[in-house]
Amino acid sequence: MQMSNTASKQNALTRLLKVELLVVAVAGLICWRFPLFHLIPLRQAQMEQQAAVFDAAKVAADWWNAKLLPATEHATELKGLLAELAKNSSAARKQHGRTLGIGGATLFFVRGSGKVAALEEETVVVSLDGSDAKVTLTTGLLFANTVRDASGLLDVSAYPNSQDFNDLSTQLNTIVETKVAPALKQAAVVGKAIRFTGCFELEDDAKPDALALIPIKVEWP
Amino acid sequence: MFSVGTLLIALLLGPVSHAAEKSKIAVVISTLNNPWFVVLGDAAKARAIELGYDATVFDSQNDTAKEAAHFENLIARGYKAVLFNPTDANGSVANVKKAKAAGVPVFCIDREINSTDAATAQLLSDNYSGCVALGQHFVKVVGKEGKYAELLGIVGDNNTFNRSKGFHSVVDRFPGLKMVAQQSADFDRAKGLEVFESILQKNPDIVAVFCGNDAMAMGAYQALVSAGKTAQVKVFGFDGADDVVKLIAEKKIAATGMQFPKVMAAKAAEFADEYLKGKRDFPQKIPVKVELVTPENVSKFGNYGKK
Repeated sequence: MQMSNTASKQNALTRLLKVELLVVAVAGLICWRFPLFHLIPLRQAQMEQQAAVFDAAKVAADWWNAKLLPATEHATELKGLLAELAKNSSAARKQHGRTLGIGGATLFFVRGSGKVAALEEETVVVSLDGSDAKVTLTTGLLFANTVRDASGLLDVSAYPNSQDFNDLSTQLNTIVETKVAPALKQAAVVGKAIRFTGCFELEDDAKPDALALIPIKVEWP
Repeated sequence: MFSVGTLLIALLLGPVSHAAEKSKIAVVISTLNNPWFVVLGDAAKARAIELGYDATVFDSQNDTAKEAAHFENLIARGYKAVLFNPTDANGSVANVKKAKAAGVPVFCIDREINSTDAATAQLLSDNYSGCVALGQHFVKVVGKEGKYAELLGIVGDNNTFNRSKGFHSVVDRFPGLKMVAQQSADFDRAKGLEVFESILQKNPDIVAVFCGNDAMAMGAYQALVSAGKTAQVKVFGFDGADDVVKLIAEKKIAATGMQFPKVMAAKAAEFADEYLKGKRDFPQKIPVKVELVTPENVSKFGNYGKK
């Protein structure tokens, strides 16, 4: 007996529905096996994004040894710099100093030699060879970014998150406080010859007498 | 004859219609609910107009989604450059990249994004150094012993932690100074008032409060006035907002860090102008120094900058 038109239409529809359901089921199976996207908690996503955690202490130590210490040989000679600053401050600043960004103080990376003149609670006073000038080497607490920025060897633009760049500064200060300063304090004796590399910050209107240097490398010839 | 006439008319009208069309620069600001940001936005707009552009300020209302909508809008409407104050260091990166892909340069002002290859340049206050100076002043004024509280800004803004870490890099070296509370008030004055009131109730013997921005400092100060404790608790802020600078002059607030929103905003507009005239080599990040403002030097400051 032939099926009526309606019945055959219904059959066709049912068949179509079954095929559609099958396609959806297969697609679902594929997507379950090979997901189109993952849902993870937002915090986890953010943490994974910054999974390359910045180890400021390690970066600081590596940079100190690989880049900063070797650069001490090319630091600006201090006695000459003092003479130039006295003669033409703005020209000397431009030629030998560094400023980070807009409005910052001028920073200098210098080396010199002299004799220990006095030992104070938070400084070692040095009288420079062949000059009346005295400078101090800081042995107390260190703040701000002079150690990081004076040599000009680090590029602020290379750090997407400025927090990392600032953590680096804290770690570099810690290296001076825990390694350089204690060694300096221990070995310093009044009258002893000293050779040093250090850095300092000179504000716009400041005069460079009695400069306070942060010591980076100290030698006793 | 007719075609020559048409050509002549076209030649005459052409330059006129071009001259009437100024390029548009968008100024997208995180929120206009904070007077400091209003100054930032207005200064950027004013400089852009001075340089010959049309400029419009868009308010993202501290909402990264609204910010995204602004970006889609301004790209579609043919803005040529964006002077941008992001809502979120991570969340805003996608918006900047969208603009970059569309050939629209973005110059970040005051707040950074955690990417060095999206924005054309970023002009940022050196918040860390500014708060190192503030922290040193804090120790000088408060002494080496005492309990204090800290109000943090929006946690998605790198400035929040640059300021906090700069401050702590100094103050934490003095074990006699104890932080008894640290809470975010989202850089908002009303929230600062609410959060600090509750801190004050729980810690009635604090002697100082460090606020990550001047709006929160004003909220904290209000709370102190209500509680009658303005003589007991010293308030430290950050931004250089007019109301706080006035209170510093009256010795009612201890200090703030003057950021230079007008300098940053004007420079950003100038960079955009240089870019549109062909310059491409911009340093990615340009720190701008923050200056400490105290009752001793406050006469030098005002109007969101140096007098």
